[in-house]
Amino acid sequence: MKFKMSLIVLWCILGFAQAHEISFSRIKLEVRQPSQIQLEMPVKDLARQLGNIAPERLLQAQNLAKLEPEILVLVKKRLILEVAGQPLRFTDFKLQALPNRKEIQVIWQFASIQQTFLVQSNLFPDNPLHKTFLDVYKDNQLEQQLIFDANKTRATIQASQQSVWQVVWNFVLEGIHHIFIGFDHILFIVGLLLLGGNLWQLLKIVSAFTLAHSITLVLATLQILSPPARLVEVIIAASIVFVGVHGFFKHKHDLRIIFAFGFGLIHGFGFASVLSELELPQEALAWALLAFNGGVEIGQMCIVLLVAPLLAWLRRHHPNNAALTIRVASLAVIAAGAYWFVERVVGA
Amino acid sequence: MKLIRALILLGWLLPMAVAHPADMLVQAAYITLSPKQVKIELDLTAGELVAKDFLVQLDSNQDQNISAAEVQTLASVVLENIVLRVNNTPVSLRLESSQSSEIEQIKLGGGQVQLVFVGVISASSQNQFIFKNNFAPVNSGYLANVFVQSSAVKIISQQRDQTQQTFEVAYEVAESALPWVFPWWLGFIAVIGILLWFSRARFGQVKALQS
Repeated sequence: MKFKMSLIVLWCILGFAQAHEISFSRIKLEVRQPSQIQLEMPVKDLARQLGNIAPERLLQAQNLAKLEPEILVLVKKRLILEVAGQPLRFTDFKLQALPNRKEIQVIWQFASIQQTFLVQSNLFPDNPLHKTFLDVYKDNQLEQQLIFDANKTRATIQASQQSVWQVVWNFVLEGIHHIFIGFDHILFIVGLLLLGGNLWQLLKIVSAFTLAHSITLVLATLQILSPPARLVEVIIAASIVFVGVHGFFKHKHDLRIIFAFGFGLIHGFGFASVLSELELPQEALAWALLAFNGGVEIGQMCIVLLVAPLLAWLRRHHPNNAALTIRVASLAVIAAGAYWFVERVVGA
Repeated sequence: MKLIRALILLGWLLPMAVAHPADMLVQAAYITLSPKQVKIELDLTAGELVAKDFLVQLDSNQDQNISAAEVQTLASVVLENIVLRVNNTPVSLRLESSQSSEIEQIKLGGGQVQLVFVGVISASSQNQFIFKNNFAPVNSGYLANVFVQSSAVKIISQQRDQTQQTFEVAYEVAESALPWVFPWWLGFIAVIGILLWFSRARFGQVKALQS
């Protein structure tokens, strides 16, 4: 009798201890194509939910198949995805044991999510020490990681498609941003401006550069032309040296429009490599391209509006100093270009 | 005799059932990175053999009740023992939230104290953070993991020392997610340039009219 009593006490204590283990589940959620959830949960926690069966039983395919309906009911009840207040319908369940990790894996499909959705996860409410890690993927790219536990069982996640205006706005900002962080582009433009000229001349030079880089940006983004990135970077560095030398020696013919157009074609490939690193919305590709290009133009115009008036002012009020300043500035442009050229050639 | 046999069986089975060591305070750090912020969730789970000693610090007035103020006091002690450096610059952390299980649960080794700290970071495109947890009121075991809050952050490498007390992570932040300090300055100067240009043009026209 005492033995039986002791066993009952033992059972109760073990039950408590087992219910309070630090354990982890993992969810990999791909919201786009193929939209699916992959859940991996520890057999110990799951076995307890299925009436305290021996965890090892779950690792045997035969037993797992028998318990499949019960497991799926449990998972559907405790892991919910809601879009606009409606739970998502899951289909094509696949269940398998992962004996090495002592886990059970469940995979299922659902209709792809294009908007904000809610995740509710409370897989093992009887174990306050259990944590569930959620990895959210969009088009195979990790977007966000979340942790669910007894204190946090819900989270709202954005999977929404951006509106055209959002795309335009974001890519205009990206274009401006890229011009301002790309010192090589800034120096190329500054190099073109150093020799000055009237508003009409400057407009022609900047327009030639714009036209050229727009052409190659589109060609590269649409993957019609894709020269090696390192070669592009090396030629961009060389272009800075060229405009610097042209400004320094004041060639009797103004070749800046030719430089602007010719090298602009190469700079376009440089812009395209940046654009390729961004998540281009395929449904609004043209808008994204146009907006990025627009952003680049705005950035360029800021530089022109900053440099051109300064140089004009210098020429008008300090003509002697202006010549010296332009020579020094041209030398600086050459030096920077040469440095990048060597760096990129050696790096290549 | 049967009772003794049952107790021996209990003594043998119990440690197997408890996943976290009974003689240890497990300190699990979940560090979430975003371009401008770092969030550290520290979960303190005391095994039943050290729970009593841990409670001496947690339930400081020994009234068998864990108040919010006591948890916050513990959090401030923990904070003094946490070192977080991003790109070799110390990050100032503040307590965002704190909660604790009931004292009875902690005594039995199934309770937890959850502390969440946040800090503002100035990340660049390539970054490295070092997290060190020196809090050790009782025998402690450490865990550290890193998570990302947005696709702008990419983990490059992770390194832990043997005890996982020190955790180093190299990560990248997408340039589009970095703060734009330089462009704003340039933009400001450009606007001043435009204004000067226009005012000069107007001034020139007025002068021409006057003459």
